[in-house]
Amino acid sequence: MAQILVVDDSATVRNEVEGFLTRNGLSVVTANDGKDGLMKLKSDSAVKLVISDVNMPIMDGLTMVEKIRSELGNSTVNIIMLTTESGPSMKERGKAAGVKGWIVKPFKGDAVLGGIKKMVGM
Amino acid sequence: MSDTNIVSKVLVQEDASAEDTLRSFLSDNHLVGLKASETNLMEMLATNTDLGAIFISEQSTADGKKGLELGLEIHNSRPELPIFYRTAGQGALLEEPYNSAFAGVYSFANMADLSNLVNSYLFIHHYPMPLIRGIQQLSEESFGSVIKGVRVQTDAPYLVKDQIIFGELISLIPLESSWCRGTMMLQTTQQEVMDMITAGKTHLTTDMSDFRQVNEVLSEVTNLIWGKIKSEFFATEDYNENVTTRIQVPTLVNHQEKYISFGSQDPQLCFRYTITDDVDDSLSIVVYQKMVFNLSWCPEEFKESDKATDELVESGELEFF
Repeated sequence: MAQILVVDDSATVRNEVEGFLTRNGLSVVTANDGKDGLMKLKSDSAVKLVISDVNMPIMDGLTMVEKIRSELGNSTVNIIMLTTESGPSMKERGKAAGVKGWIVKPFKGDAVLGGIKKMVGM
Repeated sequence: MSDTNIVSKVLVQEDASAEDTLRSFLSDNHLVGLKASETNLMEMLATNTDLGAIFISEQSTADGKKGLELGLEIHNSRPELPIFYRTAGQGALLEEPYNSAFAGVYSFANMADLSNLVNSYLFIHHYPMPLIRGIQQLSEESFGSVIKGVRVQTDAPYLVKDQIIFGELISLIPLESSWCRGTMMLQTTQQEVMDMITAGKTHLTTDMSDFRQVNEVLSEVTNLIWGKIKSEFFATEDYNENVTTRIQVPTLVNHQEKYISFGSQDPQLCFRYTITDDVDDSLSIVVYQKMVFNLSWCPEEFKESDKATDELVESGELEFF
């Protein structure tokens, strides 16, 4: 089954997103920050979608996305940012790095489930 | 004077004959008076850590001390609080050590001077009303999204000179824009947050509540509020000041005294939220939110148009690129 990697330094958000997606039949792995997320993505080829925060310690979400594109070559994994950031410059940076979607927190599962399923081919 | 409905809480210990005049003055000057007596003045001082000032007179007595000596004792325990001292005659200059301990001396014959004194100590800054309303609304939304099934009641925003920390738990996050720089601070108590987690009111598991989970709740609320404020009021501006030339000052915390200083004596803008479970009123958290714009405050450059203009997508919805 396609995996979804949820990357957030907040256990509250990881639990909330993981719980919602799992209840809706999706398989989830989690990571605590961008560096952890990058490592887990490299070691798990089943991951088809990354949902990541932007503001995180150790490695922020957009840096992680840029590294995914540069270090994993032509990786086709879809990436959605789930963040409090909604400024145009942040979104532009995300778009340039290959981010496919943007969700401004708080997470409202029902509003985004259709889009998420589409991105993992369900 | 601020043109918003911001108030400040002041502690008053006066004789009965002064009450009517002071009550009228406090009301006219956006002050909320907490009346103290000879027997409970020091206790009220200890339990109210969000005060703006103290009003006493020559006749005020507490803790075995009277008038000037009482004021000196209050000043020694809470030096951040301005003390306004009423005398029967014309306000006179005081000698040291009293002169340093008191913010001003006044009599009922010169209330205009007292009004100027209050404004010079408390209502120093103008706070734009859209900002005040925005902080409150965005914060209430954030509490409601991290803690489920609760109602949030917010007191009128007020100015605090106290630098005492409420509760055991604080979070700090910088606020940076071209027109303001400072820190947002949230303060609350640990046990009450723990009770909410254990009752299943958060997204955290309920079977292993410890202080780290409590920290987690405050951290996420702080992050959400910060992000919303940033998006609402700082989002479209071009703030590119070089980080290497950006001024910073140390934040000092004294755990023994439960005291925090940002290097400025200016009043802090304070919001007090009470978050209560929809069903069980005994589940309740009090959070103090203090906005400390100690590095830069230029409200004349605040514009409502600073709000993000491209927010066609509601928060929580997926915007495809």
